[in-house]
Amino acid sequence: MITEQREALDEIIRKMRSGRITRRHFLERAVTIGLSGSAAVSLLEACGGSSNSTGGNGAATNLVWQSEQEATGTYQALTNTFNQTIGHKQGIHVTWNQGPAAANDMIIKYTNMLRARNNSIDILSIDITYPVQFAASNWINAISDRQWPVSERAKYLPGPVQGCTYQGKIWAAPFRTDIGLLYYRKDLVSRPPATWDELTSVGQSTQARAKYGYVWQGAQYEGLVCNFIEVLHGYGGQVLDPHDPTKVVVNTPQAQMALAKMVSWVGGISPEAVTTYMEDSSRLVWQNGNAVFMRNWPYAYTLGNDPSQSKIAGKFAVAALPYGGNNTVGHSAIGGWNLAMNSYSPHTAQNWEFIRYMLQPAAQRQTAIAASLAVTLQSVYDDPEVLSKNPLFKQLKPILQNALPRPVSPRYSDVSDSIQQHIYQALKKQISVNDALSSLDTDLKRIVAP
Amino acid sequence: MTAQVAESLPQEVTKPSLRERIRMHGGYLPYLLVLPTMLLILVIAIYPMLDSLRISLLNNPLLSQPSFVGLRNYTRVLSDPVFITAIGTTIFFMLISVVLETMLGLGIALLINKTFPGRGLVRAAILVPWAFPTVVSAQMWLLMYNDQTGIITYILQSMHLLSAGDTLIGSRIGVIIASIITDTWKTTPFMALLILAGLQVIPTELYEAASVDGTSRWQRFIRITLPMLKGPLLIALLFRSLDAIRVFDLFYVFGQRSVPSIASYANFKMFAGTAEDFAPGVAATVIVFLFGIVISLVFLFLMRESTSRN
Amino acid sequence: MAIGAHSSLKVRDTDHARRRSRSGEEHTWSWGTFGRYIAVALVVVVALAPLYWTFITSVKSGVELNASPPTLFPTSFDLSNYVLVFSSSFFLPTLRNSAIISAVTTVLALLFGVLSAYAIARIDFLGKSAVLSSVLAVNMFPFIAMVGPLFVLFTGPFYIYNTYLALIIPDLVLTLPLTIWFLTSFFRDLPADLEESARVDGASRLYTLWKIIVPLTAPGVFAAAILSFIAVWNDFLFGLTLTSDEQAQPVTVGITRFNSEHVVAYGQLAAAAIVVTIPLVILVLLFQRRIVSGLTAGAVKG
Repeated sequence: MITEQREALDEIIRKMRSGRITRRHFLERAVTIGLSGSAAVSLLEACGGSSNSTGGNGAATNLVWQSEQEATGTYQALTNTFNQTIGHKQGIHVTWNQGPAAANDMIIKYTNMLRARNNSIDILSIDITYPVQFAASNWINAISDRQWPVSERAKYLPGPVQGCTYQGKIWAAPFRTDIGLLYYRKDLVSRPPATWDELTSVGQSTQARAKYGYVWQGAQYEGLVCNFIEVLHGYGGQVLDPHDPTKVVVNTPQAQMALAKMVSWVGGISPEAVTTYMEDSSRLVWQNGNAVFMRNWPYAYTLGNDPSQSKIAGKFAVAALPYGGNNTVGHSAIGGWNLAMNSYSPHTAQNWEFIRYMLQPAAQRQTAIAASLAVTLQSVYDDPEVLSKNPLFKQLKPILQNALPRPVSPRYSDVSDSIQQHIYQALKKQISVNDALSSLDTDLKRIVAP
Repeated sequence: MTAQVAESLPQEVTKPSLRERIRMHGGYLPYLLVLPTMLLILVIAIYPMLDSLRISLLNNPLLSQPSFVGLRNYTRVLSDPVFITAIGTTIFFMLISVVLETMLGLGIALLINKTFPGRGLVRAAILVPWAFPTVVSAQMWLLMYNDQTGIITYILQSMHLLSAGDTLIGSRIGVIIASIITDTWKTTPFMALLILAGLQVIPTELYEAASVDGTSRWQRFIRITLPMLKGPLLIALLFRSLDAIRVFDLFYVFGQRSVPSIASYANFKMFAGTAEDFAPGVAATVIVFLFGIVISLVFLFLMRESTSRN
Repeated sequence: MAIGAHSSLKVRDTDHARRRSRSGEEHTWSWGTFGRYIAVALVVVVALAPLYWTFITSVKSGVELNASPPTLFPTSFDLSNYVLVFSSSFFLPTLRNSAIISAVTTVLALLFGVLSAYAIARIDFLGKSAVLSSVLAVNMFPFIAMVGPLFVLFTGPFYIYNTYLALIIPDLVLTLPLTIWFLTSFFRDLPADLEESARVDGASRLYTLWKIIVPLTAPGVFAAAILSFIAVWNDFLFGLTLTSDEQAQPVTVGITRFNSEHVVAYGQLAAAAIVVTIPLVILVLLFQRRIVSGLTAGAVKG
């Protein structure tokens, strides 16, 4: 082999390894620099085709796990334990990648990577709304019933599992979850409201003592979908038929009651500006002592109890979200992170091995204790050590069990856009509740049509 | 020297070949000098512009074998009520902000078209907003528009222009007004300086002659200043209009998903939607470009009108 | 009518005052000048008010930061927002990215710009106005229309997504037209005989450009450099769409991370805005005369 050829080859192998070119490109380039097709393929096999070379650990298989942002170091510790135990025995080495602060940055990273058929990441942590969408693009592998039997799945929270399931297949393993909670001021109201009507009337009668009755997330963005489906599910309504996600069932009396209730809040028990609020902007109003009730995720609990930034430290508690109409139970929307397998990664079995480890009681328990994250294994919420570390978890268990995912659809981004648009217009009173729901209905039918 | 002589001769006499003409003018050197720039512009500006036309006719350019779908992406965005509203929003923003910036810019230019102690400092102070990144300016103004802690919200609420608990950026018209305010704040200085430069080349003798005739200040402004400024003003207006029609940062920050401009609508389509939304997003960017061409043609017509009348 | 006549007299007065002040004589006091000063002061206050508001937001601490209604004069002075900004994982890296990208782009734009502007300003050649007007037209392109094709190109066949190169290339489109425009007007101002005497000595055009023209127009070249730097520093659109993380993301994108759906840190956002804009304020204060001459050069001489 002549020197120039050697150098060119080194270069493309380096690029291949660092994930900058795909297998196809690799082959094309190898052939252009004068390598025969079969030689290029065998070279590719020799490189392992794996993009990441952690090098020097002697493991046969190197995997990369890209997680969401995790600041306590627990994910690193979990990865280390895996590498020293199961990984050591089976010749697998996992490298953990810290995630960016903004979840959106990660989705852009993933879509760019996967559109390029790249496998620089083997195991992806993805937000609950993406597994089914990624599956529709063939970007991730389904978890088979043999890998994760149905009996085993039953030990985990039903909502997150449902959120990762489409057409009978599960596309990612729910690792941790997040739910909408009702925060209320203990010093202003004696007990949390059971129904949305009660929340509205109590909010009305007490709001003079705070400033506003209720703050939530009404801006036109993903959070509005969560807020809407929580009220909708509370009234017993649905967006898509859970048994047939190509059927739109959003234009119902329940939905009309739910949306009419939300519209009545804007400028009533909620400030007009609630239609610009996202999670953190509503939290700031709440922490300033300006609201009786707030809908938010569990993260606001710790921050609200920090006296250096909160005026209401120790003065509030959390409860399940209310219900309405003929319904008798409230349902929180589910957020959270799930582990999926890149379909361009050649290490299918090893990827599952790592995910399986992350689902085991030991890893789930460690995550709950060390990182205070709400994991998906139900038994963790009965563990005395977990409960003593996170007293809030005791309250969370029933709420988690009743939580429902957002509509599950391979076209979720479009479904979400449409919900955001029509609900927002109704909240701004640009269109009536009935018009909003009927045009949402028409729109969704077009989007989810098989 | 020879070049000038050649040019002054009547055309029928010489009619040199292209090669001769190039040799008579600066030779090949000037072409070599502008070559890097022209190549660069060709590759990084012209090529993407043309490529956007191609992409806008495909189903999904990110697939390995995208297919041609004709004008489907255009009909798709043009039948989206959000996009139609975005066009309205953008045009409204453009008209109001450009007019406002020109009038205020003219006012400020007249104000500082006169030496006074500290004029340099004043000029530097008004230049400060111009130097800031638009997106950072938008974030700074966002702090002032905030419904709870913003000073502008507080002022508007005390004046009862805004109901308690509301915010300027809570409604479509509010977002447009907020964008106009911020854009005016940022761009008026630039306008003022351009107009000032135009003012300073108007011969003082014109004013002197006029004041001898006993005309009022207003009359002199209408009869001398404005006509003399017409050329520079039209060019400045053209630039501002083309800049305003592509407005992105302000609506990205203030309007977010609910009140997009054409450009921020296109951005959300391309980068925050599904893979199938990418090509319609590119079609929306082509529409921004078409608007730019229409605006340029209108101004070219206006400029031709004004020069022919003179 | 009497008022009208009076005011026209007044105007004549101020016109005389202007001519006198231009020749360096003393200023006369009048209600007109007083009004003018009030108006000027108002303009300056409005221009600087957002900067003031951002600054006080950045030094307010804890509870005062979120107080409603807000305080106009902060009762607390706390630099912890600055500490938090600098200790965040992305702010310093993105700040560094912006500095590198702006500097490299500026150097490249000057290199290409000086050559082109020299040709346009000092050599008579066919198609000159076509070159100049195409350069100007590019400056008015809707940049959003370049983003889609560049994204496809940079994530596909020519993979440079999320690198400095992915921003430097399109940023040249932002700066090159400005640079050429300004440099052309500066180069034009030089008397022709200067260059001719050098050429009589047998120096080549490029040598004259490098040894005579550029040094003589150094202030203009410097102004072009500042304007170019600011233009690149201020880019948001390309940074937002052609990079994905702090490996190459510019600070204009980094700063928006202090105000996202899950984290709203107004204090840190304000502190970051101050850090990003202070260099620009200093540049403007130091070089306002040159910046102004650069900005208006094209407009006057056309």
